[in-house]
Amino acid sequence: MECKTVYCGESTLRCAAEVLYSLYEGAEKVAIRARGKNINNAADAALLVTRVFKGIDLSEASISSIFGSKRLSEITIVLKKVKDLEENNVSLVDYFLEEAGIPAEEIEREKKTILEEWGGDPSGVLLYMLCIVERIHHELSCRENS
Amino acid sequence: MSSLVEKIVEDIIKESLGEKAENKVAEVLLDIFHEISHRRPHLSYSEALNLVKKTKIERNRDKILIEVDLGDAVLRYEIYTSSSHKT
Repeated sequence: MECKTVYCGESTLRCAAEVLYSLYEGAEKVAIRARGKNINNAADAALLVTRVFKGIDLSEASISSIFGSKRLSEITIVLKKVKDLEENNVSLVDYFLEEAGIPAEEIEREKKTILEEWGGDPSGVLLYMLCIVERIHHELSCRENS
Repeated sequence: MSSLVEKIVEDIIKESLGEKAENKVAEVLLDIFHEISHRRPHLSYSEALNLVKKTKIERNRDKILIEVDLGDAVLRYEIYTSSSHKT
């Protein structure tokens, strides 16, 4: 069974978007890996993915410690597609506002303004932009490395 | 369109592409955002991921081709080191 690995950095959303796209594109399993201060982001990304779509389950999770010059922990969370993906009615706008640095006490008000101005929820458009920017970033990185 | 949503998208682009920016790529991505916001503002998650899958990104030496198939229209961008063309 194909298992893709996604390395989670500082952005929960970017990690979640990459996992979602991998599963949507056909991967049956995706392993999220993160170290040190990014461990929380990996856990949040895994939760987010399972909230956005039904049909994705936690398959396994482990934490290991690496002892080098200092101790470093690493988490691995494996998500598995158990049936066809089906959308839950979950908005990602709060997460985008949080990552944009909007203070927690202002998120509800800003979200309301966005939903009114947009005439609905822009989460799908934002998810598309997140995925497409990542794909282009990957292309540009390959160009630099080639 | 919400100015805050546009700001969020600008941040996503800047964070991913970096400050020294691939300015032309950033411009093209913002243009894609504006077109999608106008034509398909209420994309579902499945539609969004399907659109990612259908978006062609090809790199050929100094040219990047981006093609977004929106069903009723195809956005096609050619980004060169010297200029970009949209058709």
